[in-house]
Amino acid sequence: MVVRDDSGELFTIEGLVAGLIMLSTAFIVMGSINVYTPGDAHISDMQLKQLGSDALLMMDTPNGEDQPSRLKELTEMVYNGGASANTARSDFKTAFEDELRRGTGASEIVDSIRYNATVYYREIGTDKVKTYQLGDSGTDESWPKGSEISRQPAISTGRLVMVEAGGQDRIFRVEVRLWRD
Amino acid sequence: MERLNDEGQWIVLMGFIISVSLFFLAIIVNQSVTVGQTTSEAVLEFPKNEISEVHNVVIDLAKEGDSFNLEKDLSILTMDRMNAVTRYSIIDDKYTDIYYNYDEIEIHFNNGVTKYNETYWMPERV
Repeated sequence: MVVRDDSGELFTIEGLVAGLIMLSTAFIVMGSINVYTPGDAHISDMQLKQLGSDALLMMDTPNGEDQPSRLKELTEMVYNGGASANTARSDFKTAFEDELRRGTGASEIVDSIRYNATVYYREIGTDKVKTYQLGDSGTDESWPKGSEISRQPAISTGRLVMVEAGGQDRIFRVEVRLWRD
Repeated sequence: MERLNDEGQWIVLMGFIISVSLFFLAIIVNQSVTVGQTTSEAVLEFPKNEISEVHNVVIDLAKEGDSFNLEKDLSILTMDRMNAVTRYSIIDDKYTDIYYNYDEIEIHFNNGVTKYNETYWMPERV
């Protein structure tokens, strides 16, 4: 400081306190006029969509040449129905949740993601789009709680897979709806 | 003030200057909450994943064989699930040089907001 004596101690305190009071007043005033819109949710929506689509991409990547991808196998199993469809559902749950939980290890991943997976296909003849259930995260809800009356917080992402169904090549779409609990 | 003299004016001035600069720093911190919103909106708006899904599956079709059924599967599924019109065409061995044959693949994707057209020459060893 410029002054060499300590005669201004009370002034210092007064100046500091006055500054802090002015600062907090202005900060509260400026802060209180900020309106947080649901648009802010875009940030987490984007992350969720990317995560889901990355997980599906990983599952749709074959382990080697001329090998079917895991996702293709599971889709075909669901199409075949019966016991193999049940196996496919539990296998999909294990594999998909395993991908979702993958992290760098740098931070703890909060295990709050819920999902609902469906296989969409075209019915030959009627050309209508029909579905097979590919299971969900096991929380007995296919939609986020409360979404009937408010903004829909779920994000959909999917992947087109080439499968062999009914003796011919077909394109099915595996779609997951993701949301956070 | 405590008493009427003019000592310590430097100190008051310093306190004042620091307060003002802190105020501007606080505004910056306040703004940082919404950083990334516009980017995220733009990312969500652009159907990046959908386009790459269609691209991947059409490349597979060019490799493994196309059929009327598959074409119908693709156009009806994309219309129903992505609200997008998708058309493609694959011309086998359209161009050729001494090392490769090139299949010409055209992909058209339009979801009303984003229109995406792609022409891709897929090389295949002669």
